[in-house]
Amino acid sequence: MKKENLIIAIILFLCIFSIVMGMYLIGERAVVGKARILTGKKGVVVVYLYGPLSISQRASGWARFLPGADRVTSELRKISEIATIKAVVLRINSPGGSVGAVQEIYEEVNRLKEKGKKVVVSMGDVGASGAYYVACAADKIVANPGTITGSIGVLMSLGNMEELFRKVGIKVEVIKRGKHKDIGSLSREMTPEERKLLQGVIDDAYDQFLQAVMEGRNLKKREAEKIAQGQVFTGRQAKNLGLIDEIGNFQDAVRLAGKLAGIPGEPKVIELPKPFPGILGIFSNHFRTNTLQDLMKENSVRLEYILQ
Amino acid sequence: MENNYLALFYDLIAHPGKGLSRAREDRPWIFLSAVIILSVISIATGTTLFVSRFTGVRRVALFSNLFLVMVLVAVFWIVNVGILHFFAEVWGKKGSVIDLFITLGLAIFPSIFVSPLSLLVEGLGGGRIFFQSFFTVVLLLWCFLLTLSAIKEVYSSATFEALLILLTPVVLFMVLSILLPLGCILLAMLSLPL
Repeated sequence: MKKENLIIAIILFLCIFSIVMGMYLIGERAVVGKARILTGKKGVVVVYLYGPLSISQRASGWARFLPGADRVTSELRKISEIATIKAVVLRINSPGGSVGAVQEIYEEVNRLKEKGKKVVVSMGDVGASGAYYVACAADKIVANPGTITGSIGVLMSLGNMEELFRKVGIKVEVIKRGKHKDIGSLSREMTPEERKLLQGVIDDAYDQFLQAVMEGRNLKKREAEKIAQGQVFTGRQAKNLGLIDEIGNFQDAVRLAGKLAGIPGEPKVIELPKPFPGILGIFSNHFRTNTLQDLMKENSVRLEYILQ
Repeated sequence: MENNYLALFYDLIAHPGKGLSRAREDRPWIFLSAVIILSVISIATGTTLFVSRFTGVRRVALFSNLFLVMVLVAVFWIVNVGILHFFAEVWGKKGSVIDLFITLGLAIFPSIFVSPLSLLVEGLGGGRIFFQSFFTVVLLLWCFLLTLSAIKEVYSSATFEALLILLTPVVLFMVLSILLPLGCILLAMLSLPL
């Protein structure tokens, strides 16, 4: 192909691609507008909570396409401002995620309820750990008989590469002010004091999770503690234990939300956009390999409500 | 045929004078239609995208904007051809109105970049209004220069003469828009009982 033709082909591709992307974005913005118009007293808005939950850096610009708690909280906030929306179905297919992200979404669901919206959670394959924490804020939880749920607990994984560093001749120099500033360091074994400190943090995060389960599911502390040992359940087991309200699929959840909101007949489903990692996602994740540097970053002290 | 169109497209970007001259000779109606359609869709998408950030938008807005842009581009194009041809003849220049129609149609082709640039602005964290305005001015300037080249090509005129043909209606319009209200005020004052 001649150089000129190649240039023109690139220009034309960019134009057509931008038109398609532009139309997609306009459609995305139109959804909330559409929800505002159509919902009234007969529609149910669906919000998707898919994949591991974490807080993305920014919720505006290109970053809003990346999956993250900010996108979900921003959607829920928009919905809470629309008075005509009476019911929301939160479609969950997630193993949970970082504590901060989970709690932000949980609070936003509570805010929705404060504004008088009925919230029903529908779980797909997985709705465990942090995702179940979020579900506890809903009015009702619906799951399939085989949905993996539960995993109520907190996790913090920290590596110790002291031996590896010694073998390859890496020596880490730490200059610190504050006795525990390098807590969780990769380059040395954890001291008993540090372990105790981190266990305290874990215990507190666990209590917060337990509190949410007790409040959301109307369980006594003793009952809740028995099922909150990190174990997973199927949807059917969870129903027997009182962790979910009904066995059913997505459509059942929509119908239930409609019924709770007093919508007569079959409610209209208005979907907010699903996460769109697209090309950006490919560039940001798929072509990346984990380096030692990445592993060291991953080793930071971070609390997670996540199914392993 | 496709290669001719691609070459013409390239010339319009890299050598506008050569491209417009070629378009005048070949009269590529299909290519012209494609450029106009792409421009209309690009302007409609780009502007809806930009405006919707501030106002929110319903899906129907894109289609109504598409219709509006289509009408505006058609009116602007046809009226521009009529006016510029009239003033070219006033200044004693001879040329084909069909050639002017084709070249002026191709002169709006930079507007196919409205959508890509709006998308770029959309991805920016801040200064969206500044960048959108900046890109709009650049595209308008590009269209203006292409229109100037089109007039030069069709009427075989010098740059100064083309500028005269292009700016005369603008200046006349500005003068009239000042004089007409003044005249009305004067007439109203004269008709007042003294």
